[in-house]
Amino acid sequence: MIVFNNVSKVYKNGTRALSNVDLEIADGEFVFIVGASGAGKTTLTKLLLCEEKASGGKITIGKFNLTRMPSFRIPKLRRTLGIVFQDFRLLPNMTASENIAFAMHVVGAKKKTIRSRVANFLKLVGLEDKGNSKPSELSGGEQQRVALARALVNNPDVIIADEPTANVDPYMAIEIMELLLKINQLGKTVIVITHNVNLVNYYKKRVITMKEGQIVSDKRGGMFDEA
Amino acid sequence: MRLRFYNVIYTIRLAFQGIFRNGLMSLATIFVLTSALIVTGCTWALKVNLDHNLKEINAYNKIVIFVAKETDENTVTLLREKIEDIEANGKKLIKTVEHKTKEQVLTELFETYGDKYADILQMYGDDNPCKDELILTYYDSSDVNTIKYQLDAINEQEDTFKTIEEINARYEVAEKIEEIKDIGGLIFTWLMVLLLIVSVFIIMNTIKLAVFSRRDEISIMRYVGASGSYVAFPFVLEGMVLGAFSSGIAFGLTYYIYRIFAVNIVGESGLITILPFSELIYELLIAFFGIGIGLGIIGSLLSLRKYNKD
Repeated sequence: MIVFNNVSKVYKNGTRALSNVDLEIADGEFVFIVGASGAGKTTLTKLLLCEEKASGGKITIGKFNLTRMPSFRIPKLRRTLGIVFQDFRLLPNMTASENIAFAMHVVGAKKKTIRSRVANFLKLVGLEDKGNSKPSELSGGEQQRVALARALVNNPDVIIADEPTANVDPYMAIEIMELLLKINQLGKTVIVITHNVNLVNYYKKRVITMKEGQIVSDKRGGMFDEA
Repeated sequence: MRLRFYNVIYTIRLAFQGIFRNGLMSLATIFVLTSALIVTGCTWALKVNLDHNLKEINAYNKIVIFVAKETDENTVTLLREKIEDIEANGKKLIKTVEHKTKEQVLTELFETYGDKYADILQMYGDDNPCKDELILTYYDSSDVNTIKYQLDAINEQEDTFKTIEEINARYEVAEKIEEIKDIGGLIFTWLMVLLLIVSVFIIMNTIKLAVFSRRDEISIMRYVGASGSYVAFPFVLEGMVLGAFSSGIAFGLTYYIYRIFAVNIVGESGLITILPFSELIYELLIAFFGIGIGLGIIGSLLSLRKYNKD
């Protein structure tokens, strides 16, 4: 369960990015977070990843209380989250396999486990024959699938995808969304931050709309709210 | 999280990959570090050699005491013992005391000048014009004034009263040596401190650039849940390897420069002596590898601080 309780965020330069946000996301939910630029989506993601600290209120993700968490526990929290970025953020000097394996090395996984899981996840994202390719040799969609495999390989409870379809073609966007749905059906919580109206309206999942740092609508089976 | 042997090997592999992937920055770091170590090492070698040469000049420094002619043998022995016991603050000041009888002095005179001045020397016949001499050597030329003061005091004591007729000591030379030693030591020490400070800044900036070029890599590591120490380890190891490598090169080049200097520039002149490199080897090795590896680690840690954040 992810809970935002009266959360506010004011940056050092005085910009108020979030104002009194209350939000609950149950385990296993699929949620779209939508809104125009500057609505507070990125800040919300940064707070979830502990990249920023809330100025007020309380945030919890499962057993982690993010507002009181000492910095040495942040890596532990991040290992329970799978993160997918708009710009993929793959290590350019590593192959697809090595990028996925890297996340497992970080948690001290066994060599044998790493080898078998990396192969399984490459297969899951349909890239079993591209394991030895470097990111520069892959298309945008393929890079995003590698990033997705990396996010999933440590079996996280929550997947946070920040604009996962922004840099891929429409067909690949649907493929990535299908993959995320499949992951959700396996019981994982999936949070997708997006601008893609078509996708949001097509999947009719829970849609949280943000505007000027506040949640202006929260609808289950909802559509992209232009308000 | 359990750290397995395999994971350690993996991070060591990452460190070595980092060195080769960022080849240009690695080369720049090695170049700067090697240059800094060579300059510091050569400055130190110069200082050690200067001290050595000043010590050698010191070795020629003696105080010659001319004993009063009528002094009997027992009194000369007593005088010698008193001189040998000269000390200040519990530290012995006199290294050796050599007694030359007037007969020995005359023989030496004949041996040295017999050919040229035989006529003059024979004029004295059996009447030996020489005096007994006590030749002192001392540990430190800065003690010459204290020794002179104590010799004057001995000359006033009852049992050795007026036994010293004359003291021949080159105070000015001793003072000059001390002066050169002090000024030289100060200049070289400050030069080395300055060089090290400048080196630390240059090296830190070079490593900073290397880390900056890999800031994305660091942020990705953090996003997938790598702890600060996990991210830092390959970078620190990289710094250590580059530091050790630079130290090795610097040591080899310093040896080469030292040899050229010793053989071609100083070797022929005979004015000054140069210590064999083997006498500097251990200090240089320890200093080079200590400074090189230390700077590599410190440089990496300090440069990482900005990017290795949550």
